[in-house]
Amino acid sequence: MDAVAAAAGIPIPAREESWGDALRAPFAALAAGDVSALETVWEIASRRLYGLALWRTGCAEDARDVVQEVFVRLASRRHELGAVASPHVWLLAVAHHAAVDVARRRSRRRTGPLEDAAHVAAPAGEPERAVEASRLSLLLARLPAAQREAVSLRHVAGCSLREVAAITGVPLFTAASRCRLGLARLRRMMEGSR
Amino acid sequence: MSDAPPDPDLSALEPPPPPPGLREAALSAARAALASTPAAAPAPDLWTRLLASPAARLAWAAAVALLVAANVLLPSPGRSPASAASSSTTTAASSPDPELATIARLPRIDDRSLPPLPGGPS
Repeated sequence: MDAVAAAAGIPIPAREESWGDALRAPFAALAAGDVSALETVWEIASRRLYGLALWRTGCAEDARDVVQEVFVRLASRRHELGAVASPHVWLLAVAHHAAVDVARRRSRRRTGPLEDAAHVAAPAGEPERAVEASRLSLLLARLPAAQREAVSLRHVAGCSLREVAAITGVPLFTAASRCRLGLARLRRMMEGSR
Repeated sequence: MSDAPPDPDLSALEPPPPPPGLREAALSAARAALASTPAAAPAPDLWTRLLASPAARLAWAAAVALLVAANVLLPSPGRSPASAASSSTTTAASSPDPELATIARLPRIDDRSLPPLPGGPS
């Protein structure tokens, strides 16, 4: 997979600890009917789910609806959870589909610009990155939704290209192409904004 | 000497935090959905599934009908058609009715009543 990323000219992000493994236990508990496992899933996954919803819809109000919809689907489909191989991919794929649905429903009513939503944030212990995060949020908002989602999943959420393809429901090379084009456009915008 | 812009350092940043209030809204909606979802029934065993399956019922009925039809239409292996026909003759021969016995009795051939062969000894 790293060879595909290198061939596509995509920088390979540092590996982060798999949060999918941390979701296995609450998924099994939910499948067994343990309601308290919902809070564990929230603690582990809510930030990434909200981020994905925001990257896809570009609107904080829509992202709220998407996250709520994801948790409703998580509860109503709990009988399937015991057989899920990759819980984080499953959750993000549900969030992606919910975000596409919400964005499609609200596209007719949208009037204002999307730049007001913060697409990325500085880590808690690094407030000096807040300016950089704000600037990158403005630039990410100008990307097409599919490219913004692919770039953010790959480089902010730390997903592999194969996971990005599985989450967004596109072939692997389409996911790689979206990442490459999105990064190239982001670089051009950074150059123009200097 | 090119002055390329630096790569955007996205990996050092994080997704934005969910807004306040979303946690309670999402979890309460999920709990409501969980309460309205019926608990999964235990998986039925093999025989229950076979008895409840329409396809299995149809297969059982077809197999029974086929066996009955074969039993009626096909002759039994120990009973040939010739023996079935001769059994009726035997039944007639053993009948106590003398008229039927006369009809069924074959005429005996008397060697002395045959005509002499041509050119043979007289």
